[in-house]
Amino acid sequence: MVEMSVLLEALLNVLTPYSLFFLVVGVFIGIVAGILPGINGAIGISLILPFTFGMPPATALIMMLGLWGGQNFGGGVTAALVHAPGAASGASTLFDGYPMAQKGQAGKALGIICIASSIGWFISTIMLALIAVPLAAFALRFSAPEYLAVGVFGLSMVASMATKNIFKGAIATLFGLVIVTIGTDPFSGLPRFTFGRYELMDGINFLVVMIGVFAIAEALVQIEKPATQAKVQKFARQLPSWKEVKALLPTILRSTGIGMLVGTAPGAGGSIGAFIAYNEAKRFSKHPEEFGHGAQEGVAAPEAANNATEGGAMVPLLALGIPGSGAAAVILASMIMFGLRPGPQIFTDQPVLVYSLFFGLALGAVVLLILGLLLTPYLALVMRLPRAYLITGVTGIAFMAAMAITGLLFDVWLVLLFGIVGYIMRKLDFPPAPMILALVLGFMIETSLRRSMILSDGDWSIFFTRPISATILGLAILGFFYPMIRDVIGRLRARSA
Amino acid sequence: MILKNVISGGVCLAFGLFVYWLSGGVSSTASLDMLGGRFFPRMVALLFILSSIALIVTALMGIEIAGGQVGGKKSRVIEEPSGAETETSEAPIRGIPAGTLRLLSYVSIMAVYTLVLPLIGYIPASILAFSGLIVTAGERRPVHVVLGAIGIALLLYFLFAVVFSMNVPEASLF
Repeated sequence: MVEMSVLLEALLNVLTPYSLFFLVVGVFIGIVAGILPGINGAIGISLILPFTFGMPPATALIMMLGLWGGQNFGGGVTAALVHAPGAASGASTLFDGYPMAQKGQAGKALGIICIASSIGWFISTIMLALIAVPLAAFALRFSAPEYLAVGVFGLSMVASMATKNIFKGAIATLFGLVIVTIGTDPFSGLPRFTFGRYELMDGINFLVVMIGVFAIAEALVQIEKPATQAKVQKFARQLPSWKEVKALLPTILRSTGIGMLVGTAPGAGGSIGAFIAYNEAKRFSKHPEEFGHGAQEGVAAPEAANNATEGGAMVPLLALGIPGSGAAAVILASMIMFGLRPGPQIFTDQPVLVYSLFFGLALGAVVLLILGLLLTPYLALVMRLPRAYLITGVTGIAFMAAMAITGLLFDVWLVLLFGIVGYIMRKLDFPPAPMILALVLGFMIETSLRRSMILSDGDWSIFFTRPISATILGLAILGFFYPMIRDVIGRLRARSA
Repeated sequence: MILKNVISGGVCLAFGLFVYWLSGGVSSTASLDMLGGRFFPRMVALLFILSSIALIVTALMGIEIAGGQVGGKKSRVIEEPSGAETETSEAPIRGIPAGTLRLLSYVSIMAVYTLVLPLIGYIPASILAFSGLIVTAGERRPVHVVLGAIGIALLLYFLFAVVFSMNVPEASLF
C-alpha cells in the first residue's frame, strides 16, 4: 500500500504555483504544437527539453506530459477547422469534425473535442495508476534475462506495428541499435566505433538524434513543399449543451477504454486508437448513417481515445521502462537525462515523483478542459502563422537545443546529419519511431544480454528456461512474424479462392 | 518490382556489411564477459544484413508486407483532403525542382551556420542564417525578412542565454 504521506507530498508537489504554471504552459504549448501541422508530441517535447534543464524533474516531466496531452487536442482542432489533421492522432476526427464546422457548428465541434479529450485523458490517468502500480510490483521479480526479453518485445512490437513494411521497421530498429554501439563499451570500457573522436567516447546522445530525425527532418519536409495557405472554416462560438455532452458520455467512456488498451501496446499510438474508437462508435451508434456527415459521436470517440492512449503508453513506460511511442521515448530519454530510470524500481525509489506524475497528469486534463474551452475562439489564429517564420523558429530552437544538451558544437553537426537521415527515412518510408525506441532501449538490451550470459556461464537456454522471459520472448517473436504469417495466409486464401 | 525498396535495401545491405566489417576491430572477449564488446554490434549487423536482403527479395517480388495493427485490421488510409490547402504550382529552376533547391539551400545555410557560429558568435550568425532560411521558405519582403530573423534570434537568445543561463557560442574572430 502507498503511504498517505507520499500521496500528500506528491499532491502538494503538483499544487505549487511553480508546477501549476509550467503545467499550464506545457498544455498551452501542446495545443499550439498540435494545431500546427507537422509538429507532433515527440517534436514538441524535444524542443522544450532544453528549457527544462534547471527545473525539478517532477515539474519538467509534468510540463512535458501536459504538452503531450495538449498536442492530442490541438491535432483535433486543425482536423475540424482545416480538414487536415495537425497531428496524426487527429486524423479520424476530420471525418465528422470538418462537416460539423461546415454546418456552422465549429464551436460545438471544438467544444466536444475539448471535453472528450479531457475526459479521456483524466480517466486514463486513473487507470494508469491502477494498472502501473501492480505491474511494477510484478516486474520487481525481473532480472537481466527478463529485461532483455522486455526490451526485445518492445522493439519487435514497434518494428512490426508502426510501419508500412515490416522489413523497413526492422532496419530502422537495427539502425538505432547500431548507433547505440557507438561510444565506450559498457563492460570493458574500451572505445567502439569512435573513429578517434573524443566527442564520440560517451556515445551519441539520443536526444540529439531525436531532435534531428523529428524536428529538423520535419523542417526539411516542410521547406520542400510549395507555399500553402490553409483554408480555415469560419468559427461559430456556440459550445455543446450539457444534454449533448451527457448523450456522448457512453461513447467517450468506451473510447477511453479502447484508447487506454491500445496505448499500452508498444507501437500502437494515438492514431490507431482513434481509428478503432471511431469504428466502434459507428458500430454502437443508433444513427451510423450520420457518421461522415457531422456526427457528434464521430468527433468525441477519436478524441477521447487518442488522449487516453497517453495514459496507456505511460503504463509500460513507468512500470517497465519501455516506451510505446516516439513521444513516450522522448519522455523516457528526458527521465534518464534527469537521472531517473523508469521501471519497477522507480516506484520504490521515487514514489513521490511517480505519484506527482499521476496527479500532474490528472490535473493536466482539467487544465486542458479550462484552457481549451477558453481559447476555443482564438485557436484558429495559430493556423495563420506564416510558414517561413515557423520553419525558421523550429530550426533555431532545434539547433539551440542541440547546443544545450552537451555544449558541444559537434552535436550541432550531428543534429543536421540526423535531420538529413530522418528526411531520407521519411521519403523512403522507413519509420523513425522504431529507431528512436532502439536508441533508448539499446543500452538496456545489450547490458542485459551480456549480464545474462555472465549469470548463466554462457548458457543461452537461460532465456527460455525462465518462464517470464520465455513467455515475453515468445510474444516478441510472434508479434514480429505475425504480419508475415497473416500475409502468407491471405495470399494462399486468395490463390485458392 | 518496387524499385525504391530495391535501391534502399541495397544501400542498407552495404551499410550492414560495413558495420559487420567494422566490428571486426572491436575487442572480442574479456575474462568474465564471454560475449565481449564485439558480439552485440556483430549480431545487429547480421540482422541488418538479413533484413536488407529480405527487403530486396520482397521488393523484387513486388510485395510489401505491411505491419500488423491492433485488432488485426488495417486502419483506413486517410487521403489528403482536396481543397484543404491551396498549393502554388512551381516551375523547375534550371531543370531542378524548386522544392529540391529549397531543400539544398536549407542544408547549405545550416551547414554554413554551424561553421561560422564559433567564429562570429550566436547572434550575428543566427540573424544571417535565419534571414536566409526565411527567404528560402518563401518570404520575399526585405523588411519582414530582417525583422523576422532579428526577432527569432533575439527571442531565442533571451530564452536560452538570459532566462535559462545557457552558454551560447561567442565570437572568436573579434
